[in-house]
Amino acid sequence: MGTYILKRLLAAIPILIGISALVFFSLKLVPGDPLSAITGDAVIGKEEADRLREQYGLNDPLHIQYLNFVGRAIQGDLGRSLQFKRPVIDEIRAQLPATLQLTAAAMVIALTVGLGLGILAAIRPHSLLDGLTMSIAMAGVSFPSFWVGLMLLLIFSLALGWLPATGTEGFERLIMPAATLGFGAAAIIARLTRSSLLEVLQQQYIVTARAKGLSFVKVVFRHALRNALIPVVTIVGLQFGNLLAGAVVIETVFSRQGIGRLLVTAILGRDFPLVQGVILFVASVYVIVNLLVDLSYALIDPRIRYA
Amino acid sequence: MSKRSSPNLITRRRFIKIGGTGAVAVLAVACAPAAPAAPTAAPAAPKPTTAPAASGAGKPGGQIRYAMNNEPDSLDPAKTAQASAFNVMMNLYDTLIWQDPVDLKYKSGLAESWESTPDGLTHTFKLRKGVKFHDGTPFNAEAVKANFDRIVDPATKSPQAASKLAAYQSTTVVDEFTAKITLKTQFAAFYDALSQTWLAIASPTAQKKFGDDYGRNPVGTGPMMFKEWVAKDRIVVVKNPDYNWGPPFWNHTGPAYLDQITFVGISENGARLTAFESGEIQVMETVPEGDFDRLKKSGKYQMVVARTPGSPMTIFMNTEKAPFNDINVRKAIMHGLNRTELINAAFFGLYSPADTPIADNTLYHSKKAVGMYPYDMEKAKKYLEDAGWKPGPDGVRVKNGEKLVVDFVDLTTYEPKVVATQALLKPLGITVNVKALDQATRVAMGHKGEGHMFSTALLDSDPGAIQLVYHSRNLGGFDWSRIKDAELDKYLDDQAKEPDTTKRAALLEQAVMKIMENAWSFPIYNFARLFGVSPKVKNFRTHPIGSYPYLYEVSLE
Repeated sequence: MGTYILKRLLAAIPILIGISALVFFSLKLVPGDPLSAITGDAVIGKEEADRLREQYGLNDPLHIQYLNFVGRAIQGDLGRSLQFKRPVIDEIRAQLPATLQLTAAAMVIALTVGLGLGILAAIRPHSLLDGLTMSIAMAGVSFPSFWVGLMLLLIFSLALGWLPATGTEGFERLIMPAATLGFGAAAIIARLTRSSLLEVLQQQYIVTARAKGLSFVKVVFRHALRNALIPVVTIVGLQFGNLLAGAVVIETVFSRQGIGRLLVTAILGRDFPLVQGVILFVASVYVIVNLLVDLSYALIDPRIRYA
Repeated sequence: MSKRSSPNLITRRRFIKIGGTGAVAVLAVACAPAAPAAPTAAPAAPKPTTAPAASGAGKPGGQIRYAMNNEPDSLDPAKTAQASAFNVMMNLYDTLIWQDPVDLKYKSGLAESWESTPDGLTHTFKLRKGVKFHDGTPFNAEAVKANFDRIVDPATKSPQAASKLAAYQSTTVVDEFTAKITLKTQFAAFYDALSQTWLAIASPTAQKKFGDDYGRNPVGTGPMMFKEWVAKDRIVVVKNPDYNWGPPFWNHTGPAYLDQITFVGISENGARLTAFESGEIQVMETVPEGDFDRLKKSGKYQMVVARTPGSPMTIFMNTEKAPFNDINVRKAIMHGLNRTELINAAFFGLYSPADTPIADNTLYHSKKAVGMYPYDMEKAKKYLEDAGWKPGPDGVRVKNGEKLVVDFVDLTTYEPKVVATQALLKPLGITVNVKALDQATRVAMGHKGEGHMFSTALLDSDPGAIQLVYHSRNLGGFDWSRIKDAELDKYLDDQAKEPDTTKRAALLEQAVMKIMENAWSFPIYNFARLFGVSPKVKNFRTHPIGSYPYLYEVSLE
């Protein structure tokens, strides 16, 4: 197990280097002057612009800029944000708790709602309940999250005045963003749980268990669900990545703190060091989550072992 | 040495009459009575757009939340160039002098009086005594020197302040409260530069203490003190109880009325509007034009159109590329594009039409160029015919087999303007391609001349700033019309150094006439910032540079 984890982590290094190179050079292909990160919306003279480009090292050849970046990154220094004039790592650290909080809350919603609806639909297939839950799931998959977010804002902030529209602090500011973000993931989990559980429920050992006189509830939760969950766990892992990606939209719509909003600001401002740093960070999270998903198979299904 | 306690840059003052009623009267719809024709060479008295401070004491206490459309990058005046930062910094810092928003004269701030040598190269400032920075250290001549020396130090990498101090040579500390500033070259807009918050005085002790992170831990002498900055969430400032050194034109003395101001950056228009309409925030900046109209009609809010000085929102026509390399085609645009209709169609008629490169609320605005190109479709068509552009089979004009097609490159948020231009130029037989892009891309395209039309407004209390968009030294920068004209350059260079206000006004007028005669740019409307203000907020009015509000004056009902 230990060797396996070590191998996987070592394999992540070329992946991260590849990603950093890809991001770095594709950013340079994007039109737009990185000086915008420094000057924002101000109209400044050409001499000043040239002076600033020189002072911020924006005139150096591309490969030099990249090597400088890699050299520093290896030592754990992601550079300084052009826009915010402070270390990239500090920017990420400041935004991380809010995103983790949002993703975790959304995950809790997605799991409870998704598993709940999926199980309900599977134990009474083709019933009215099944139709209803699957319609909700269909809506969750099809409605774009920014639209759902804006609708919630309209209803709960503007019309009813129950929840604050923007900001980060406090539980009441977490409800709408987490619900919006969790909704889409819940829908996918519900659909998958339903189909996976339906398949398992038709297996012979389920019939055997029922024939032995076990209660239906016990059979579903003890015998069927455990086997049905393997594909679901994979999807939940992937959904975690999707939630991180979805946070980009949700954090912007609700003006929440977070990595997603940081990334949007960085890209729009052509704040290259910040974009680099955030993407490298998110990529590392993906790698780790994927590893955790793979490891969790062994816990759920004792037949799977890692050497 | 000519001695003056308050330099008179305007010879004549005009009284303004406030339009509108109630609290909304503070706004910028202040209209000046028709003025007698001024001799064109004299420094023209501009039409101020901010009302005088309302008298009567406000109630101290309370707090507001103030929403901007983005988060500032830094609160170090030397290291930022962003409007949102200026907004917050105006509360944290004081400048040596302040520009009065009504008569546009320079008034005392951290400097009580000042004098300059006739050559305009040496300026001696008598500083106010008893002023303390928020960290308890005293404000003195050493602090002035430390700040200005730091701004021009290349290691500071200053984006805006350093260009305002380009002429700076050195500061001599004459005694604790006397600072003598020496300039390398004459700089007519020096006092104006000093009145802008980019050159505000920060605590040198705090700058040393925090180093590179000073911008996140700002310490000034202003009416509000920095409390906290939660990145991407809020910036909180609280009342400075010792404050008693504001400029004379503010509506009260002593500490600010508000106990606390929380600044939030909300870039999503929908979210910003929802937060405002649900009462979560009391002041909202950058209200989208369509919603401004709706909120105003609801009668529930104070809706403020705050005019900015400088250059109006202007379309720059790329003179290096066909068809705008032909003056006839540019003149066709000048006559053929209907400003009023454009403003009505794209902006719900919120802005006033502008027709010269220096806005009429700015120092040295000249009336000479006003009305040079009245809207006249027939004249516009004739210019196009003269240029050889004949109507083609599909209505689009053609010359040598080429269609009259131009690209209008602009910011996505300005798209309504571009689309309206497209519609309004269609009857002339001109096809306009809409290229709506993000800021970084469209600025880069403007700098490289990739496109035919670009637009921007210029916010500055000194009109000399128009050199940023018209001087050939800015080709490859914001000279988006790509003008390379030695005569215009000379007017712009000379005015920047001219200490005599009458002569300076004449030079700026010559520059403006040159630009207009060559039809290098099309001024559209007087730029303004749109605010939504809760009815509970009293005495909301704005500063002449870029229309930042004086939150010091604000109180709650």
